[in-house]
Amino acid sequence: MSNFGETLHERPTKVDELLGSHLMSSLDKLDIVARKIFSGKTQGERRSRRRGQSVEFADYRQYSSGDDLRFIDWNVYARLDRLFMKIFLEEEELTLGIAIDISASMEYGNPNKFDFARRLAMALGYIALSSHNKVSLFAFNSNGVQRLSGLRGKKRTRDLGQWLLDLLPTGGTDFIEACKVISTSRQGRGVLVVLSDCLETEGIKQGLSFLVGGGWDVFVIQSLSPEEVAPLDSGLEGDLRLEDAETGEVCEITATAPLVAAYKQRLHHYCEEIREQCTRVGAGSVRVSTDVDMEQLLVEYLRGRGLLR
Amino acid sequence: MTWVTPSAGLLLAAIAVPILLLLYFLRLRRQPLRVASTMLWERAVEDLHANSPFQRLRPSTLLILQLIALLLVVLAIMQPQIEGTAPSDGKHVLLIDRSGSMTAVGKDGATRLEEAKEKAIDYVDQLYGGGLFSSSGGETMIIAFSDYAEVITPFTDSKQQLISSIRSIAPTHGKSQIGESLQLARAYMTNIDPENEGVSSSDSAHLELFSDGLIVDINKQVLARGETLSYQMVGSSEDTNIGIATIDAKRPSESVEEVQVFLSLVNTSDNSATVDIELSIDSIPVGVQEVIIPPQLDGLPGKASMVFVPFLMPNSGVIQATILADDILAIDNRAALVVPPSKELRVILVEDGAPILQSVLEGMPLQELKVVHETTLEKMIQDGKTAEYDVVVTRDITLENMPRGNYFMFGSPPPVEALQSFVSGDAQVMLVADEEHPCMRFVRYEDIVVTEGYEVVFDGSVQVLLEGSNWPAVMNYRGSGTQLVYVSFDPMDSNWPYLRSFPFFVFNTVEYLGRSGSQFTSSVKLVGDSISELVQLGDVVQIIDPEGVSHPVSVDSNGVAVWGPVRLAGVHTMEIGDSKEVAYAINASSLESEVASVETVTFGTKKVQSAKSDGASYIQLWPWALGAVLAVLLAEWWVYQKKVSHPLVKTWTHTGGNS
Repeated sequence: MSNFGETLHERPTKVDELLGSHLMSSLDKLDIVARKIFSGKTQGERRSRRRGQSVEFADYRQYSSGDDLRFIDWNVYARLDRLFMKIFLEEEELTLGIAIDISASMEYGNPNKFDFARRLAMALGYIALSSHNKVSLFAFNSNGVQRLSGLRGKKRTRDLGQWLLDLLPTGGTDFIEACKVISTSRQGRGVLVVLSDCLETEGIKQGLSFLVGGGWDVFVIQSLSPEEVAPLDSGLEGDLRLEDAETGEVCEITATAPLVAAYKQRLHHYCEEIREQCTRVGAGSVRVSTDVDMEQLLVEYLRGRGLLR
Repeated sequence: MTWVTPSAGLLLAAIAVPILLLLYFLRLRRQPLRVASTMLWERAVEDLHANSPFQRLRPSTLLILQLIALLLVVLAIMQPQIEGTAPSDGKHVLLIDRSGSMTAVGKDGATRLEEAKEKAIDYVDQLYGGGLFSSSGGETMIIAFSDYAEVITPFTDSKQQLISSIRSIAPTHGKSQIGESLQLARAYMTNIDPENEGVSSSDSAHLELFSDGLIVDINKQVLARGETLSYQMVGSSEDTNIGIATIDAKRPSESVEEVQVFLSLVNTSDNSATVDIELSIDSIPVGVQEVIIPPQLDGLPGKASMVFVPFLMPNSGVIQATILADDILAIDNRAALVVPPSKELRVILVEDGAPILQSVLEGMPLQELKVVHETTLEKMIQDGKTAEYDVVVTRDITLENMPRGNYFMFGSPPPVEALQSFVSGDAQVMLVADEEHPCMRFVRYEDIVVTEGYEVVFDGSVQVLLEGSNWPAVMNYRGSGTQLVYVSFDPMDSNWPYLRSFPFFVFNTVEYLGRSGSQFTSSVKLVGDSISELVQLGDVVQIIDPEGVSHPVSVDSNGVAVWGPVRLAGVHTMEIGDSKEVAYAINASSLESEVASVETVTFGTKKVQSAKSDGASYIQLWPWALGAVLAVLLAEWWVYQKKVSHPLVKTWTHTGGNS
């Protein structure tokens, strides 16, 4: 068995290894951005659909007994001789959902796609917790969806990290079923970041439709390893019998330049197809290679794509 | 094409070809590799979908090239070779026939000699053509032959020299003889090793014969050990020809001022031919006569003889007969004859004893018969007066010296080195005579009895005309401007004077000697003969050949101008000094009239087919097969590289997607 694609990097075993102190300091000034306005259960740092006690005026309504007299608009009463209540937009907390693909295909590459997803999830979760947002975590594969909900405050960062460390990539991918489960969860609505290699032959668009329909502002981060992006540059050669990590299917190839060129053409078309499907359902997407620098990814790319500010 | 080891090649093919095909049927043993997903690979890869050990054999350029290479290797192992004009290392001798029949013109307008030269040049091109597997070609020698052989180029490996030499070969009208060529070739092939006490070593050579196969002496030749022969025929075996075989003329005895011409003609076609023959004297036509020549029969040419009506020709001249029809060979369509003027002889006689010779000579139609004493003759010899007479006749006279002239002598031996007195001869009878010789015509010798004479010894220049039971009785000698008929006994010591044959013999001999050099028959020469003439010392002599080309002629110390061998048929003119001219009629040999090329020549006992070797020479093809294998493998490598070459890989960006 060739060791092509086998993870040779050091694997994270501690929470600190998922998120270093240097990166942590860089993330403190970032926050999650939602492209939609959501209503939260608790007061937070962003606008909510719920009318509340913020300073931003929203509407008027007629007074009914029992209302707080402080919100009566006396100027209108003077002109119209009727009592109207001023309604203000209430600032609520944002829920950041992070869905991690933990199928077997993620356990591949240098750097490892699964490790990359865990580090990215850790970083995004830290940003959200630091900004007083709620964080919900989902891990999905063909065996179902694991979740960790209701994390609030920076003190839960370690819980977040430990939950990620405990994940184990295995099985196949059932993206549609996972999306159904996530979309029907009552953990609140907000921004849902999907971390996956998206190597799913069917159901990407349908799954995303479930998520968007469930109220999530979906952002797909498709991560691929360098071995998948440029096989020849990564040392792929010879007559090979490829075995699919999830399905066990076999494909025999001779690693020739024309074949790899055809493969890269297919990959390019496939990634474009993913991007188009995301666009059609209103989801954002970004494709990254796992060898990209994490700080650069967060500070430059995801900021540029509007996920962070 | 023949195969040296066909079984080995077939065995290899039987094993290797199925194995190669099986390798293509069998799937490769591939290294297992776990990947995240095969989804994208499946769409890109060609050889998917096979769980069985064999796959469908699909058209593959590589497979075809490998099969070709394998089959070429098999071919090389079988060692193919082709028989024939096999240029190879070693010595080659190109024998190019330039005889009269090679001047025959083919359908394309080129002569056979030109065709032979082109073939010889092609052969040289093959020898020294160069190329990946060509040999050095060894050394090659060129010999042109007709009735004599000439080394055009000794052994050399210079292609340019060989080709220019071949182009320089000029035609002759002589007959075709190859024996001398072979002797020359073998002489050049024999090397003397000075370091080994002069021991000679001879290399075997390949003889390449370019000819129409009409070679007179080819049956008498034998290939030496190691020699090989190839024959490249030129011309066509279907060619036919009409020609003049012989020409003769004589002055009728009843009218010496007239000339009668005789011709014989040949026809080598299967149909009889009717042709007009034109007769001309000194290029002025005097008559045309039709003749029908029968077709060839059983391979022998049809022959016809014709006699022209006698015509008045008191003076000398050149008679020429011409066939007024075109055929492929022009040289035998014309024959010539030089006719001397009619004359009566002047004879001087010295006779000791009874005047038996005087009695005979007085009965002959001579212009002058001068009978003198021995001393008078000696004085005339000293004064050179005998040159004014056509024949000097002596009987039992011993001469001190014999200046140039014609002598008819009886008894005492003449002062000629070729004839030396040995002992007195005993009585004898006559046994054998050369009855074809003009002197012995109508001479019955059986009754002659001689009581005594001179038994002489002689060298090869002497021709015996009458041989006795103990010693030669009558001899003919020619040399150094002297012609002599010597009877080695005194007629009075025999019964010959009383026999009828004696006056016939004397008459024949005086006529023969007196008209020697000016008789019609002696004036006819064939191509290959030499021309000689007595001239004054100091004269500038040159020959003008039928093509008008002048050739200087050297004169020896005896005043004899000799030029030859004559190369072309036709009238040659010898210019002597400023005023005298002598014409010579040179005719082609009748052997050259046969023009149908021979497809198989018999060299001794070996038959050699045209354009084929005698079986000892082959072109080996296996090096070419191996060269082709190399080329196919290079092509296969190129195709493979084109399939697997690494084009510039486009850099994949780290990020993408919608923004």
